[in-house]
Amino acid sequence: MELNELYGRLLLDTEVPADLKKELIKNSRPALIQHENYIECQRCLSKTLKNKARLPNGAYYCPKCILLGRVASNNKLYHLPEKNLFSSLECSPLVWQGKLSLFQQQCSDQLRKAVDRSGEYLMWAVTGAGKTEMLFPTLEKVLLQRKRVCLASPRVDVCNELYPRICTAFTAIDPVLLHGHSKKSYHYSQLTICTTHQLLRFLGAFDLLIIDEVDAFPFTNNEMLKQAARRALKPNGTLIFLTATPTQELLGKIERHQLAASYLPLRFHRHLLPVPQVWFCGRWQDKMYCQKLPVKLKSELNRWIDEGFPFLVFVSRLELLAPVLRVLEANLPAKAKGDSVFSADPKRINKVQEMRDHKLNYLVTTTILERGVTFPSLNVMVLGADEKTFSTTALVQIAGRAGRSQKRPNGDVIFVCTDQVKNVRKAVKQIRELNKKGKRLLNG
Amino acid sequence: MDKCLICGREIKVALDLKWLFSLQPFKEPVICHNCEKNFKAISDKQTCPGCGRLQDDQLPCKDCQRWSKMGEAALLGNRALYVYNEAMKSYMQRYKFNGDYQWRLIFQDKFSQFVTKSYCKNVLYVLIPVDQITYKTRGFNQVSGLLQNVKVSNLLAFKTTKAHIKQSTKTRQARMETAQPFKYCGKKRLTGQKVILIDDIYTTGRTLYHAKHVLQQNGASQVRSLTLAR
Repeated sequence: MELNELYGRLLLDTEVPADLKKELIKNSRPALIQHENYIECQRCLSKTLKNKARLPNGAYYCPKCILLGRVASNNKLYHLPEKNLFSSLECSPLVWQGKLSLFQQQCSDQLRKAVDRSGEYLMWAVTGAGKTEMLFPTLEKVLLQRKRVCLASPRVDVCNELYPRICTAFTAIDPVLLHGHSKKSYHYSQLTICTTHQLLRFLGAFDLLIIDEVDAFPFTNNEMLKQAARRALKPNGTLIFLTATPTQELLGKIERHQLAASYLPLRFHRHLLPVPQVWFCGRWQDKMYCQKLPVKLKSELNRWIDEGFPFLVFVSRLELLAPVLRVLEANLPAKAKGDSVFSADPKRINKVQEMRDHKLNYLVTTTILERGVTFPSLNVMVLGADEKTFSTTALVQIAGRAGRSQKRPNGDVIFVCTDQVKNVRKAVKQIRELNKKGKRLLNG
Repeated sequence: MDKCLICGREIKVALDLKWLFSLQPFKEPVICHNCEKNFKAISDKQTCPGCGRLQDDQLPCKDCQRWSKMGEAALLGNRALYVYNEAMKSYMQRYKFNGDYQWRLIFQDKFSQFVTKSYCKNVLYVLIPVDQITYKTRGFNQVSGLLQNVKVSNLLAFKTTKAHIKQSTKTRQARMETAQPFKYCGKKRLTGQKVILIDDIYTTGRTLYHAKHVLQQNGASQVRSLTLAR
């Protein structure tokens, strides 16, 4: 291990080789602090009651960040300050040849300006707006200034998808990709792509930290990861959030003028977002138990199959996947083929690929496919959109799966509900408002 | 409401009549129904009499026949609570190797009950020990973490204080060639005592048979074993 692999990092002694540990003993700090009745982990900054963290040999450990290697009271953390020792670039590292549309360009310019200031910034661009490409000019500028950048996301899939795109756009830079399942080892790089959990291993490292899909699980409502993000940033660094569906917390901050933001309410193909239809169908679950599909749903699904468009059926719980799939198979024409997917499904990637290849006509899925996947000319149905699992942001994301291609810029989105609930109403309202803004933009 | 230790989702508890009539205090579950489903319990009827492996008949399995051929007069008669499947493997990874001591609660009740109910009272329960260096870094003995209100006797210790190579990192052949690592550390000789060995996993049986030999040399009349997984 080289010394520069510790710049801006916060590593546990089990991650540092013995010879370096001796050398850096002055730069180490205790990994756990004991208070009267709780302990405070110095890596993830979370607090745990002592009786939940006690080990039989009298030591304590932090159960919150254990997947990154256990922090116990006899461990130490090692850190060296970030020095930005990168070779200076003579010409632009950006080799991407594409062109941004007018609206994308405007949004991208705002972002470029935002990185001059420290603090937080939000880019709110609708699903399918082309966020990654809009980042390129900003990344180019910051890399030329010899600043250290990180692109983080709560979702591994997003990181895995970003990495090759960044690699081909910036050939002069050798980015490092970090996540729990990554086999590649760490190296000191100007550009880091990682999951938000990996930010726990950084301290004061980045001049610019971009978090994609901030509203996704596990980042949202996770105080530990939010603190980790703030700590991975230098004190005068810029933190940029990217999302299509800001959480209530972020929206509140914008309203109170605590967070600067730029909007892009139009998709790259310059069509408005499909507005979900809310159908009240009180007894859909009872009917499904009797192996029947409500007539209204059946005729709609049949129409989709006749028109030849693929569709996704979202359900709220894992246990509903198999019964719903069975009912659909029994009630829809035999030529339509379907399957079910969930997060821990070993064949998940295969099934999604089969759907892309038109081998499958529909997928019954949990919220795992709510974001990050694109199927052209898709229709979407949410069964039980009024359930608690479907938050407003999840519903907007789900609706955003439809109409993502130039060829078929619209699609049907149907929310099947039993009751009136806030989440559904808010989601529809948010999409309408975005469309209003989009229309204004289109009409100049 | 508490969250599932394994998947982190909220646990939905349904109070049923069975619980009502059991007249037991309500115990909050630590894992959700979905995660619990992944662990496959072993029912008594179709297991190998030697190692407790789940199988179709009641005859000793090939591994146990091999133990008999190698000169074991009596097999361990091991009984296990769960099948060692993917779910159990990742459980062990998290509990034992990552050292998440909280995860002991997932099986603590069930395993303690299994241990106390399996045999009558005049037996000694002996745990397979953990070597000193591992104990220092891990901070706990994974077997005693799984037990609650079970009186155990510490009769076994490692011969050397050096860290030994973990069984889990070896191939099957290397495991079988492992030399006796244990010594007897009880104060008195066991005169005709029945002993039950307790361990977390039965894989090849090598460790448990080594422990059995030590105890038998020191007077134990019968040695059998119980494990969480097979």
